[in-house]
Amino acid sequence: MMNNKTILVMIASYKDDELLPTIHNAIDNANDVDRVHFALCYQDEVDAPYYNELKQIKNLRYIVIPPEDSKGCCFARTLTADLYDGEDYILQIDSHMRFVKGWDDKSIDMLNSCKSDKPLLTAYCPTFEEYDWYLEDLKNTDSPKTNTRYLGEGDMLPFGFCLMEAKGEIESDEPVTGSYISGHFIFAKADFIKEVPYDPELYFYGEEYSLSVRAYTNGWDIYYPNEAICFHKYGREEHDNTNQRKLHWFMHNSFLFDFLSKSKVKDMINGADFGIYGLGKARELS
Amino acid sequence: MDFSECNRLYEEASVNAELSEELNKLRLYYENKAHKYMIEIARNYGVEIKPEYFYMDKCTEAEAKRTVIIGMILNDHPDIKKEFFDFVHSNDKEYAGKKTELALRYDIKVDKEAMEKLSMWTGLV
Repeated sequence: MMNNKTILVMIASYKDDELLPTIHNAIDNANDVDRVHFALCYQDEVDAPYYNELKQIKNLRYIVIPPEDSKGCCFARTLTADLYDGEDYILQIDSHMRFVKGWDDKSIDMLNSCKSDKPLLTAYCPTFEEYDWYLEDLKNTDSPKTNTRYLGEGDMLPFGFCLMEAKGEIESDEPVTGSYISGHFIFAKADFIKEVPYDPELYFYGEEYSLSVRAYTNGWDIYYPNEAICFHKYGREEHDNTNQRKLHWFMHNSFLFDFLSKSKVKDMINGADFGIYGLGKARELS
Repeated sequence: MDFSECNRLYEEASVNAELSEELNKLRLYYENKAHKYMIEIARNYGVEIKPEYFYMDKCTEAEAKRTVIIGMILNDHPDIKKEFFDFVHSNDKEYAGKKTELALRYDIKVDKEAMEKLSMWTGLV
C-alpha cells in the first residue's frame, strides 16, 4: 500500500566504507524515494573520498565528528536524533546494510499490522550472504520470499531475541511479539525517539538491553518482523586487511567507558533514577 | 540542533593546517588532563596506570585490564564516581568553550550548545 508518510533513516557511521553503498541501496530500493530522509552522524575524515558524494545526497542531514573525537556508538546514535525534523517514522540502522525492494512500504505496512498502539519492529537482520541469495531470487520473481527463523531463549543468548535467517522456516505470517531490541534495525513511529531517547553515556554492551527495558516500561511493544526488510554485515573479514571495518574500540580507550556504561545499566535495573534515560513509568519491569 | 557550522569547522580544518594543529592541540590537552585525573585516582588505590595504557595499540591486554580496574574502583566508591563524573563534565565543557573560541577566531560561527554536545566525554576516549 503506497502512502506519503516520511521516514527518517538514522545512521551512525564510524570510518565505514560501506556507508555510501548502504545509503544508495536504501534509495535505490525505496518505492518512494522522496519520503526517505537521512540523519547521519559521520565519524570519519572530511577529506575521505566519499565525503563530498555524501553531501550531494538529497534529503540527507549530517553531523561531522572527527574520528579521534568520537565517543562511540550510543553517543553517535544520540546525535542522529538531534537531526530529526518532523518525519513520521524513524528507521535506525547501521552503516553496513542492504534493503529489500520496496522496504519503505513494507516496513510501514508491517508496523501497521502489529496489534499495538505503540509497536516497534526490530531484529538481528539476515546476513549479506543471504542478501546475495535474495538478489538471485529477484532474477526470477518480483518479490522473493524472505522467510525467517527466530531464535529464542537459550539458543544463543540467555534471553529471547530475533535472529532472522532469510531462508529459514516461516513461523508466522505477521510480526511476532518479542522482548529484545537490536540496535541495527529499529522501525517505529517517530515518537519513539522522543519517549525513549538514546543514552549518550552508554558505550556498546548494554545499549540494546537498556533500550529494550526502557522501551517496554515506556509502553512500547517490541515486534520481530515476519519478513526480512534489511540485511546486515556482521563481523569483519579477518583474512582481508583491506576490507576490514574499523571499530571504535580498536582505536580508542574503550575499557573504562565500557565498564562505566555497564555499571549504569546495572544501576538502572536496580532502580536508580536516570530521568529520561531511565526506566519508564507506563509499565513495571517484571 | 543545527550542526552545520560545527561541520564547517572540521571541513575548514581539513584544508587549513594551522587550524587543524590548534584543534589537535586542544584535544590532546583535555584528553591528557582527564587521563592524569584517572591515573591519580588509581594511584591512590595502589594501582599503577600509565597514560599509554589507555590506548589499545600501545598496551598489552594485561595493561588494558588495569584501566578497567579504575572503573571497578569508581563503581565501588559512589562518592569518587560522582566526583569523577563532575570532573569529566566540567573538563568537556571547558574543551567545548575553547573550541568555540577557536572557531570564532577563524570566523566560523558555532552553536555553543552543539559544540558542548560534541565535546561530551572527551576525557574518556
